[in-house]
Amino acid sequence: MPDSPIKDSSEAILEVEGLFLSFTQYGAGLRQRTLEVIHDLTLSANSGEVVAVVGASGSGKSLLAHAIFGILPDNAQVEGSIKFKGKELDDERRKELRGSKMAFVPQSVDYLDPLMRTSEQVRGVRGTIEKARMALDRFGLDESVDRLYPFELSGGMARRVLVSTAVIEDADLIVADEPTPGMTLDMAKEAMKTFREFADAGKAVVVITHDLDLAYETADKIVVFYAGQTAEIADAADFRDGASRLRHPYSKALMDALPQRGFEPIPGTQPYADNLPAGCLFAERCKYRTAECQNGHPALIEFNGGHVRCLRPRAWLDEGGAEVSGTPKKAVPAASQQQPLCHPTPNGKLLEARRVSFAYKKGKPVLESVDFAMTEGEIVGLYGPSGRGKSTLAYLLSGREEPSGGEILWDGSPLPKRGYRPIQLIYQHPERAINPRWQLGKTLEESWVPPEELQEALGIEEAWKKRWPNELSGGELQRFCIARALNPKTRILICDEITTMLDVITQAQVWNAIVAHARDNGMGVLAITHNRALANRICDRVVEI
Amino acid sequence: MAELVASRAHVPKDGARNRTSNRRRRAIALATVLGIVLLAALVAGLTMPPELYASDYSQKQLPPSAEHWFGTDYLGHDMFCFSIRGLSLSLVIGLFASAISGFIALVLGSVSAICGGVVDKVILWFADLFMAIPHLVMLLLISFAVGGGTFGVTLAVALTHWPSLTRVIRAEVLRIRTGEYVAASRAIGKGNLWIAWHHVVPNVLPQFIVGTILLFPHAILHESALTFLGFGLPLDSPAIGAILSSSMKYLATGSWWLALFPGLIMVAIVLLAFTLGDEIKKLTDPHTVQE
Repeated sequence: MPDSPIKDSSEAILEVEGLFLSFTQYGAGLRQRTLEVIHDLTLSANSGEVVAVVGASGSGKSLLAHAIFGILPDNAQVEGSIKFKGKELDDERRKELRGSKMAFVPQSVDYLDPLMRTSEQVRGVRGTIEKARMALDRFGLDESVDRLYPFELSGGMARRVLVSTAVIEDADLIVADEPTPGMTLDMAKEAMKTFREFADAGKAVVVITHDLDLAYETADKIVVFYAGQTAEIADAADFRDGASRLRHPYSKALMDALPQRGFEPIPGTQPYADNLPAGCLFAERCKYRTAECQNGHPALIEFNGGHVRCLRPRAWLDEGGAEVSGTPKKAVPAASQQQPLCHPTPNGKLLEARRVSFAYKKGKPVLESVDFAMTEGEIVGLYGPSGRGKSTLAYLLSGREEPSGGEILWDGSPLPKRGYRPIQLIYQHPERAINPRWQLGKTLEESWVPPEELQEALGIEEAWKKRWPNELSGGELQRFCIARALNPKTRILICDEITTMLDVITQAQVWNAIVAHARDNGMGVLAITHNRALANRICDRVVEI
Repeated sequence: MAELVASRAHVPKDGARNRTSNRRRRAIALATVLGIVLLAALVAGLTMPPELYASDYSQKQLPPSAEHWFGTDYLGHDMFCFSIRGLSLSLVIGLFASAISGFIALVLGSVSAICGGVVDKVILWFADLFMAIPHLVMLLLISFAVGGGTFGVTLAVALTHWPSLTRVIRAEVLRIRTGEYVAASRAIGKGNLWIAWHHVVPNVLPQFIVGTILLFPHAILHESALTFLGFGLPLDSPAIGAILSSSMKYLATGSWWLALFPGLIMVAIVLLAFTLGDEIKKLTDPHTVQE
């Protein structure tokens, strides 16, 4: 990013230092335990700066935002210092600043008031209708959405409305929690550009995201979280230069897992708050660990012009960490951009949609006369902006919904209504696709008992099967949904944005496992995604809708 | 290397940290105590020897004393024993009425959600109808129609209290039924019965139990109201409603204790039952279970 003149005279808007956050929870029966989920966290944002906070889900990113705004649940305890413009934030000051000087874009579109029309929603308490209109215009939402209620908006549109609610406030600090999932790359860049403009006007912007490539392309500073700690604070430029200028092995692992780079995940998962390793929190998964790492607690130190929490920041770089690893980015076949929806390959059974239409009762049609075809053994990407009916097409193809016009054919005949469906669908939100009152082992057994190797490839740990769904993160739950759907009777797997909410390492892990399984078993995969790089990486062909 | 090592380790600190008190333990203890008190009132009233609340004309119209805690009435009943006996009658009627109401709500709510269409509309229309007409009017009509008495009161209360719980259960079953895990289960090839038993029942059960417990205090109150108005239990029976009704005549003569103590004991039992329901709700509701 070009240096803006404000940067020189920048003042610190937000300073978080030595933040500890813990939850009191109930274990089995009456036992009560305290889970420390954020440990000694440090972060600062100056005026004129866009700071991106990246890390896996469950690393404490959202909790940090909630702690700043004082909207944590009752069973949370916070220690440490959070300063706004140099003065400690207490509850009274928060109340005064929230919504006027500090604006928040929450993570879930469920935060929209379900009974408020879009323009009211965006206008808020202090704004005017004109300002609301301008904010919506920025995100390409025309006047037709002004009178719509949240349930009438598509996922991506709702997300844009949510972001608009924060940008019209006259704030000094904007904290956006995952503002971009469900947006196409162009839309996400537009959102980031808006944040950039706010920063240039002297505000500080903190963007919490797991979209690493978007973060380093558009932010000034990257803060990497791991298991509730700050692992690294770096200039975004260091990330743009590739892995060689990074300071923490975890940052490098994130970079290596990007689909446009190595797409190579590191093994394992982030440790839990109730089961933290004795030494460095990352040691278990670190290629460069020594005995010292498994015992010592690293502090956040200055190194190479940034900050890193590592016991041997120099040594691991010398041991090969500085090398840019991974297979080069797969070339994008130019033709794939213009592939028609209908493009069957000769062998294997054919899944076909013939001129299908779909409309909800009394609603506008979501799909009109769409043709689509794919075969077993083929990995197809379906790419397109939100609101074009991608999810609806997935519902129709998998047999979850009946088309209101046209037909869906599997191997020349209509989809079977009873029994195991050969076309399986995996959803974007695993926590909704798993019965909350079942232990996870039962969720797997409902379908089949996957072989050890598959569970290992997906990174499912044996101990998780005895856990309840609310005890695992979205990424971990999604692995169960995938394992459940990979029953050998599945001939085509439809994945509806299944890794949109997951970090890049988990994304690489699960996609590598799915692709390997599909290749070994001749299964077809339809990957619905907003992520062009991911689609190019894993798919034989990519179609646009 | 010392400067690389953090001064504050990330191991959980003990002692100094201000822990929130163990609310789950408190809730369970409270629920247990409330349950025991309710059960004790019930058992004491039902097993009470009749001579304890028989009339004794030598002890008429006495104010509260060490011997007669709640005083005595114009027939010389000991009001404390009389009230406990009355309370147990109310509790029995309340138990039956809320159980029947809960059952009706469960059946209608599930049927409404599963069948949809016309059936759903008809059931909702009836629920709205029952909610729109004041409870007391419905109670009077039903109780009067079947001839009053214990049976009439129980039936009247049971038939008027199902609509709100029916709506709750209907909404819950609908939410579960259209949920993604049910869709996934269906895609795996599971049948309707299997899904109902394994997915719907475990998810709707807590709502049902809590809803039924919260119906219970309503049922007691309405039973008493009905009896008070003379359309419920016979006025010479030891029911709280009957006691309050006959005490009205003596209030003007200064026998305040006849209305005060039975009234208070009624209010106390109703509050206990509400608190019990609330505590159980907090323990089973996923939104509050960790608080």
